[in-house]
Amino acid sequence: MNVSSTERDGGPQRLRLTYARDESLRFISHQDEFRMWERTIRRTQMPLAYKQGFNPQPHMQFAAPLGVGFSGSRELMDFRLERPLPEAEVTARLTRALVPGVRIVHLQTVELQATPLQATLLGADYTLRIQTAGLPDGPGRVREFLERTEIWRTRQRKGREYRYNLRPVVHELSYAGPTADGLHVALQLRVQMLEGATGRPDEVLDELGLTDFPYLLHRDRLYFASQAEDAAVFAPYTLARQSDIAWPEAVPPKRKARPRRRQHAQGQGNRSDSPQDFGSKAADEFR
Amino acid sequence: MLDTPRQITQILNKVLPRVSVPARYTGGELNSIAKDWSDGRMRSRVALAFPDIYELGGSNLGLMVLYDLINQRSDLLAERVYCPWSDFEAVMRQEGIPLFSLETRHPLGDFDILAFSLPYEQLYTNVLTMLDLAGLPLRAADREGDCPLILAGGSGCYNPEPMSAFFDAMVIGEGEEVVFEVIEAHAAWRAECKSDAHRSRSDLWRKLARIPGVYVPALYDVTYRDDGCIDRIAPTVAEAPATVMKRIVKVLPPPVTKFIVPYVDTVHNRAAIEIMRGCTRGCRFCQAGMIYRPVRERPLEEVLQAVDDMIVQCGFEEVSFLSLSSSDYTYVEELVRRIVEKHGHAKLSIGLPSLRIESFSVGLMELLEKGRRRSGFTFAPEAATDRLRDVINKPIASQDLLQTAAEVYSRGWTTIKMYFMIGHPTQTDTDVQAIAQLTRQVLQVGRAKIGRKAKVRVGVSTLVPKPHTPFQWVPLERTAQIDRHVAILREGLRDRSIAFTWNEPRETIMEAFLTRGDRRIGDVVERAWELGAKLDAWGEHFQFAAWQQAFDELGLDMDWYLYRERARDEVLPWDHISAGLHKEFLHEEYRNTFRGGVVDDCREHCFSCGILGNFKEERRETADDAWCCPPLGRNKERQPVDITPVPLYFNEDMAPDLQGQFPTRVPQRRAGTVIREVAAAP
Repeated sequence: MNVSSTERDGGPQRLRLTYARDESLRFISHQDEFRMWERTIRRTQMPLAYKQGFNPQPHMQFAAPLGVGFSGSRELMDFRLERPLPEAEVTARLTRALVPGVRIVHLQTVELQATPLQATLLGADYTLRIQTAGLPDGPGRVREFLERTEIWRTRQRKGREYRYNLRPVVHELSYAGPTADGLHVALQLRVQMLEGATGRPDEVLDELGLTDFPYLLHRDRLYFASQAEDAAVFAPYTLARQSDIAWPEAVPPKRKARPRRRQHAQGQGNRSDSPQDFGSKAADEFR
Repeated sequence: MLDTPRQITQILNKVLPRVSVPARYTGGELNSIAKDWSDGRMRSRVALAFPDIYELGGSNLGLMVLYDLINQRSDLLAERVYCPWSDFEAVMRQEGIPLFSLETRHPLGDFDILAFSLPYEQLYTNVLTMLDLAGLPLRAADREGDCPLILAGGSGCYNPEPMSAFFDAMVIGEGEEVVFEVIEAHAAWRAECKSDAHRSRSDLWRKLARIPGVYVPALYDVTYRDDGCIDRIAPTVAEAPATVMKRIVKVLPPPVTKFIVPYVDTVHNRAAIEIMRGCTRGCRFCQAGMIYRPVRERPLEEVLQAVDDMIVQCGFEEVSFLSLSSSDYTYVEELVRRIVEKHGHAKLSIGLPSLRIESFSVGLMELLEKGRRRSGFTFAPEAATDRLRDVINKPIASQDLLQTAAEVYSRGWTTIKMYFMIGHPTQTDTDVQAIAQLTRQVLQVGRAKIGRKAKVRVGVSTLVPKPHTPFQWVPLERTAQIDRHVAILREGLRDRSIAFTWNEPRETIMEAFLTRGDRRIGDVVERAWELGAKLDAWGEHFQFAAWQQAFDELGLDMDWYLYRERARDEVLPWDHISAGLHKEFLHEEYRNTFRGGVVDDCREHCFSCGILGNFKEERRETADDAWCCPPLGRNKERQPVDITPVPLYFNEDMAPDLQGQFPTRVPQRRAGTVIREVAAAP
């Protein structure tokens, strides 16, 4: 039994799953994926641990959510079982219950109190696959991107726009040429992924002017500061912080917290005082 | 237009990143079945179409049942198709993408049969959108021989007339058996066409008309009187019966357990197991309670086994037990207890919608306390005064509601949701104000138990009189009256702990003229669709003006369809379709409405609604306890039987001179045939 010796016998077991999610699943969101994994584990009837509360959530943590438009080769997720099981058995039971398009790469037990994966995330490698027979100016576009020190882009967050500099969070970009099937060309990308300073491959692709073609964003692997080999790969790079890449005037001056206004007795008391739309009415039905 | 799955796949890769929720159109879900089209054994390929977006269609149990049944046969295949959202529809039109199935992306025109579900009227224009996107002629009369057979089923078919022009055939009633008869008839016709070039589509129609429960609109003629009412609806060929009787299954077939597990967050994102079909309460406004008779309960062991199978095959974290009145299911307490015992530790959440206040026992509540909870319960009193509850035949005592509310709040639940209706016949302002008063009383009860955390949600809809119910003769409430009543309620329900939602009157109006419409409404549907009506169930798309204009252009009067009280002897547009009920039964109940006569649950007392008369053979072939209708034959134990609904009592305000079985108000089901344990095996 490959249970970590630091665990009490019979106590909860934390497992780290490395898996691949292929392009047939690239249009599902992270919430969809979360629910998909919860159900996969439920199908195995292994004792998945749940948190407390009236609407308990399963003990599942993703290193770096993939999101819509992506596939991945080495994605990581931690989950917890209430009672330990041999790793070979967990792998076998999971494999039988997987949805089409998902494959298990590796499974191992980790310490119950191990640092969350997200906390030590450094960056990732991506393959950007563009559907086109040839891209003669591919190398040129890449060279031109890399030569610039400032690439200002605009994104939305919480309904507000913000500007940031994309260049410092891109550490490697290369044109890999046509793929074996002759229908695509590929680019290789390495970006950092830190709080407030993450390089997004779709932003890179858009900046390169290539989003008119059908494309696939494939994450080849993630890098974690807690792994020595990963840290070594990222050691030569100068990692940018949020303040390094933010547009100077974008940060609003700090406001003093306003006192909360009390609800008037005769004012608009009803929060959902409205005709109800069909979608929420249907969802509400029988709830 | 593109026409192969490969071409469609290639273009989807390009366009899907641009639309909202692309997973609506990609398929590949666990348990979805993609069969091989080149398999020589395939005799018929069926596309099951739900005319709304994936989020609503993806959890539809009826479609899943047919999908499961058809795919079990090695010589048949079934795939799904839903209505695209407006952004993807625009992309499809722009790029020439035909409407395609989810499993193999075949254009709909490649299928042999297209079977649409018609669960509610707001979806009618989506049917036209889907036919148009599939490149198929909208009207059945315009379809050539090689066009797929276009079929409809579902509760909307009980008044098939508004959509009758667009379907080759419409199935009335339960589809589990008849769907195969239709597939066979179609396959036989196609074989005949191969050998005989003179076979036409009308030969197919005649074949289908001979199948019991199948209505073929093209084989019926409708004539009108000068006043606009229908003179006659009559078949034009011998194969078509004067009345199409619904189909029922004698016992419920084994439940689906291998549900398709959606990626998209559908509205009911959970497993659903039907525990009972039909309802014995006889509420006068309720179409489902009338058309799904007789009541057949699913054996308890079958339900429990289905839950076990579902967990292994799907892994849903919640299972919902569906019926029209779940706490009336005989074994409901034992069901919940055994599910919680077996699966509670794995945090399986139990959904029990359609709870009936009178039979929602404390025992049941305590069982539902365990395991994973939701925030509250939903009850549907529908009316807030005793008098009006007598009128609609849903006589619960306010005291029972408040007591139940107290029990619910004191067990850790924080929210109670209640449904009410306005627009009932004989309703007054007092009745409407009583809704606000009753809600406040419930909130007070909640506050007494848990203070400020207590919440009440009130949903008020407007009564839409439905075909095959005692209210089918009732006029719709006028908009000015509805607005006034909503205003009374908004005023009376102002509180931070009360959330009040109501229906937009124009949406109610649309449902009302569609549900009791005749064939001329079909022209209105088509014209409104041409003018841009679509996705009418969704607020952002609903365009009342298009409908208004369609009526005007066709010279029809919307008000005539809405506000007219139907005469007793009027030929109603759905008279040639039977739900198994005698029209006389419905009319007697309609008269009881205005006398405030409360009629008992028919498990306690049978009123010969017509089901037993029309389904004698089927009843004889089932076990005594298989239906809640009395068993046939001698020396059988059964509830008392009358040939007409005899009220338990008459409301003293409305009919002071009349006496029912009892001189005073008594509850329904006082013999207490409510909850039982499964008898220990002998």
